[in-house]
Amino acid sequence: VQFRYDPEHVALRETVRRFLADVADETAVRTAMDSDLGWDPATVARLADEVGILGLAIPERYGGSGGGWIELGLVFHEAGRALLCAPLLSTAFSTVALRSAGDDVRSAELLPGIASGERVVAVAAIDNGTPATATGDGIEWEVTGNKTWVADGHVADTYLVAAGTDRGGALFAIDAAAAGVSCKALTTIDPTRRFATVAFSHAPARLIGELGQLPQITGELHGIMLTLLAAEQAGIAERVLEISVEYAKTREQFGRPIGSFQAIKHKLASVQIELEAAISAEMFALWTADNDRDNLDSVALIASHTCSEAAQLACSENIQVHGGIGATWEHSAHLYLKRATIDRQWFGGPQAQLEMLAAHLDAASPSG
Amino acid sequence: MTDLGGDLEAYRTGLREFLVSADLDPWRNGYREDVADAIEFTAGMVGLLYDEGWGRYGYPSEVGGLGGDVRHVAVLYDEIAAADLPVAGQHELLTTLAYPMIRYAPELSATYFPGFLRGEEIWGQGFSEPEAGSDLAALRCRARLDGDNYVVSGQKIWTSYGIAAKRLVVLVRTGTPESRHRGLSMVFLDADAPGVTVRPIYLASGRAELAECFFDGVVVGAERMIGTEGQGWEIAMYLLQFERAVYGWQRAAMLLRRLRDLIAAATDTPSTRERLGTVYLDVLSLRARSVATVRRLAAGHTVGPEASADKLLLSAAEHSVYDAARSILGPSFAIGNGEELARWRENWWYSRTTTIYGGSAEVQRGILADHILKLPKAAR
Repeated sequence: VQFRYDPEHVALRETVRRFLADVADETAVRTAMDSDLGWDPATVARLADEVGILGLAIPERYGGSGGGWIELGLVFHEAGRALLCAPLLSTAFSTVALRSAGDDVRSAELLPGIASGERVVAVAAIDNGTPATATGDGIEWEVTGNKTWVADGHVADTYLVAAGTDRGGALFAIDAAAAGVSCKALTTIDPTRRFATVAFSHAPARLIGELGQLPQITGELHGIMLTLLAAEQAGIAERVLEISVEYAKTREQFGRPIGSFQAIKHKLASVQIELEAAISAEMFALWTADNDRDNLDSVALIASHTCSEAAQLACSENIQVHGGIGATWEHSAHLYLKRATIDRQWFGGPQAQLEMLAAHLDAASPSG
Repeated sequence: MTDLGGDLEAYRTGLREFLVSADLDPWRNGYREDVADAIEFTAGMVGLLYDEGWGRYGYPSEVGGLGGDVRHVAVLYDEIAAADLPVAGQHELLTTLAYPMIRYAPELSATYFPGFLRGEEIWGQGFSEPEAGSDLAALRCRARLDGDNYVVSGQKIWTSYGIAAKRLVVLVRTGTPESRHRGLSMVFLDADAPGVTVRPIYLASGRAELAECFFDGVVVGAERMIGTEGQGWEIAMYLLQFERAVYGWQRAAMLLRRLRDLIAAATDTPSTRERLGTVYLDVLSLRARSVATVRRLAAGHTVGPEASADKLLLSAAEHSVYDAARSILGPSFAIGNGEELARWRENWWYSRTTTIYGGSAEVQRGILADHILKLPKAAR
């Protein structure tokens, strides 16, 4: 087991960081977050063309670069640092779902457009009330149900919808323009990302993979997405600590930089400790996602919890160190905390995740 | 007729009866996301409380009050929160500005305070500056005596409800730049006077809760001085006692009310029960401390550096309640439509500022360490 990034990973990270510094600085982020779409299409096109960000984890035969989850995780880390506004969440969700389903026809149909940035494919897996159901004759299907927390659902071309059938749950592709599909934007705490509820009423659907495959796909989504969101939170924590340190060195009160006060020193040193743990947990989970899939469920929970605690602490202390200005809209501090909050709350929040982790411990205990 | 100014329990009983009456229904469970709307909304409630007398206790008759002391004010805020009525911005500002104005500027108060108490106008407080936050004594906003007037030039920041304020209580430098806290004075300005510019500051919640104020050669009559020249720091310290005690009490009352809302929204699980129990203790710790401080103020005692403990207990209780709300609401705290979610988010963001405003948590701990524990001072 090798717990360090390969030179090509380091190079990728540097490329992405440089690129985002150019095309996605804070001014660009604020313009994008105030727009209806939520991102700048020209920037997203460049991210897809010049860096290949959207196709990193997509196999080469479907227009991607055939990388692993590590590569995509590094991008999430950088996206967190830069507060990148782009359809990154939907890209990751749909890539994970399609790779897990292993359906050649649907992959060939959907993945190239995702990789090129021409198509937004959003996963609609979380039921809003009554679970969604699909009925059909084995060839033609239709889906009825309401889904919520659909990342980038407001502009998706296609939805990948989890629905139950009489032969087990499955994933279906539904065109956003099809009859019986309607979507409504959701209010979110995080202005840098968009979520929607989507209602399907006898919407024509295409089966992805096989009936009964849904538990496997959602399990994969859970493990990989927790890992990627952990990576984003590690990136947020890392960047936010830099911002805090910079401010503590320059802001003066009582005739000296506030960073010279022990209260501030200890605060930021504590963040540094949490950050170290987060970076390690992030790396471990990314490595596990690519190399030790059987252990990912518990490792992803560990990374998610560790990184989310680090991000919360870093973002909170960043506000505290900045004082009043850190609590204002014009400062970036709240944008980081808001983004970290979505990442933290997505899969039920820390309490639910700790309980899941405890369940893993029960299963692994010698008496079990 | 019972003298309600002398009988706190009779005041509470009568007030409670009034607050649950249909007269208050237009404000019950009311919430306005926009700050200017919120101030306009609660002005009617504050006016009604004045007209019916309940809002006038705790203040002397010379300034429009009906007698009693600060405990009456505490009871008023307690009962308002318990009756599911909103905490008015007008009342929040009264907690800090009322008593220092009445004590140090009785004549100005006789003229202007009734309008404030009736909710017809709201006052703002201008203490901090961009370069004088934790280090308040470094402030630079200047008032220069020119004949019978002072001319005020400089900038203030973090004025609560500043965009709605009709008058401003401003801490200014009248001494030399090096005079620190000795060369400060406090003046009472009209926000619409020539040379005053007020700009909203949007907080992370998106609400323009605060404002920055710019003063460009603002002429103010010498009779608008609060106290005497050079007395500014003393008045500011007097004011801070009420900010710690009465404002803290008011927040605690609201926290109890929001805790009730949270219990109603929560699913009953062992971990939720434990969490809510811990939160309740945090709020009760604040109330236990705060009630003692309010009583001391009512008895005319000076509350000194020990009030920093009140402030720290307040921020701990605020964090505790709203962090629990975030945890219990789960993903819908982050993503979801509706006024109640918007309100939880706004409350949560505001709770983040409790360790910053009115002297940061670090400054408060420093005060406790230096002045209560009498530890050797650090080389600042």
